[in-house]
Amino acid sequence: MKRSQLSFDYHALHLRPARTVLLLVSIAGGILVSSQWRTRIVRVINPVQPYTSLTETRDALTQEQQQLKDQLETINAGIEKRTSDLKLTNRLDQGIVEQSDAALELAGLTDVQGKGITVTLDDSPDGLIKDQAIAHAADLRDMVSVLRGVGAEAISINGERIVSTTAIDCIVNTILVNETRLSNPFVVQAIGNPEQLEKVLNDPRILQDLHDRVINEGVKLKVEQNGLISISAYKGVLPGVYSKVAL
Amino acid sequence: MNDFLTKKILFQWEIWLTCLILGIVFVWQINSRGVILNAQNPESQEVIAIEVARLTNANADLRRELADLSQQEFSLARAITDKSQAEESLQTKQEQADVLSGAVSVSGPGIRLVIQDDLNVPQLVDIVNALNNIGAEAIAINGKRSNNRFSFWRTDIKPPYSIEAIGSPAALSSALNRKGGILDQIEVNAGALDLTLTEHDKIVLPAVNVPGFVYARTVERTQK
Repeated sequence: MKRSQLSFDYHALHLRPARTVLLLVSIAGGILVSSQWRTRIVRVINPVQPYTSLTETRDALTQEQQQLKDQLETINAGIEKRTSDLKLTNRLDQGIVEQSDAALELAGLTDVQGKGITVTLDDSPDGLIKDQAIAHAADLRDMVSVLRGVGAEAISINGERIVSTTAIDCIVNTILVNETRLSNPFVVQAIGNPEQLEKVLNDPRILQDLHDRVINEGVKLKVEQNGLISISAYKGVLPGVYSKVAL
Repeated sequence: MNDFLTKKILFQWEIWLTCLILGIVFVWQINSRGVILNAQNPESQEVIAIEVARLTNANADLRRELADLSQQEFSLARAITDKSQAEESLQTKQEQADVLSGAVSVSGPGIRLVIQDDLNVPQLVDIVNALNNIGAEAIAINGKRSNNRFSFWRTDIKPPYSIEAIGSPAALSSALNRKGGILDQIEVNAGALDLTLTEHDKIVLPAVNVPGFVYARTVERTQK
């Protein structure tokens, strides 16, 4: 009897630390439950609703933007067709027509083709969201600047023609070009001397920060020469609200 | 001894059940916090709100452009009977294109930003980009028009930088001056800048010689 009593006391002592652990775990559980309770928002019945509403509005506006750009392209094609027809009938002053054609071409308002390069820029495929491992709007701005510096005659990013008023901007992780949201991979096309354009972008001394991130962070950068590239005309808004031709 | 075993088994069940409940609560906590924080994250909502505002403005501008082009197409359609109207329409479009390419001198309200400090190329690129982002219609730096062939790279533009932009003076000025704006960002990284920013009712930007294409050629839209 004595032996049994001793044995039981021993096991009871053995279980005591475990019960303490159980108590602590239960307290932790209580804290989690109360924390969860406190996370609930008192004033907003459905906190997801405004978020959903905003994203839906953004998607609808993006869709509308695309439709408006399509309409602009259609109407521009119509204008080109009518101008072309009028040229054939010789009803318009040929000087005016030729000047107009040349001006549109140099401003980036016509579709163009020619030799050049295609650059593909993308986030690191490692899956880690690090600031240094993703493609930034600043990378695209620098790239456009360098390409212009070696004589690129026409440049586009994911089909958006770069003109003098183009802004390449970002809102956190969203990149906007000509106020159009673009998603990666970013495909930059440039018409010009393919060898020079390729050489300058592959030179690690130029766009040094980007090249460092390609090596150290896995940012993807691929430059290819192309025999024939097609770049579409700029489809956005033209200046004229504030600026007038100075006489 | 049997009593002890029963208690031990019961205790093990208690532990098992507690861990199970704790696990469920823990996962629930993590999941629901994630959902609510994503929806309530001020940055996330703010970002989308900014995108919505910009898209709204951009679409309004596109509709205006669409109306102008419709008018132009209408004029061309009437060209058979009204030649002068068609030519006028072409000239209007040409003027817009010339302003865009920098081939003509332009005037209008705007701002002049003079920076005495030496800036690097990315900083200059970012300032011009910021001005474009605010809606500048034409920009010149030290008297050179920024067009679609202009680059700070391999140019001899040196300080002091006089950056002039045509657009809404108030919008351009406030956007440049605001906290978190491009000038503030540069100052955070490079220290205080010695600059002056002034609004003007009229500034005149010079024309630039736009070189013709060597590699590119225009193709008819129907050829695509």
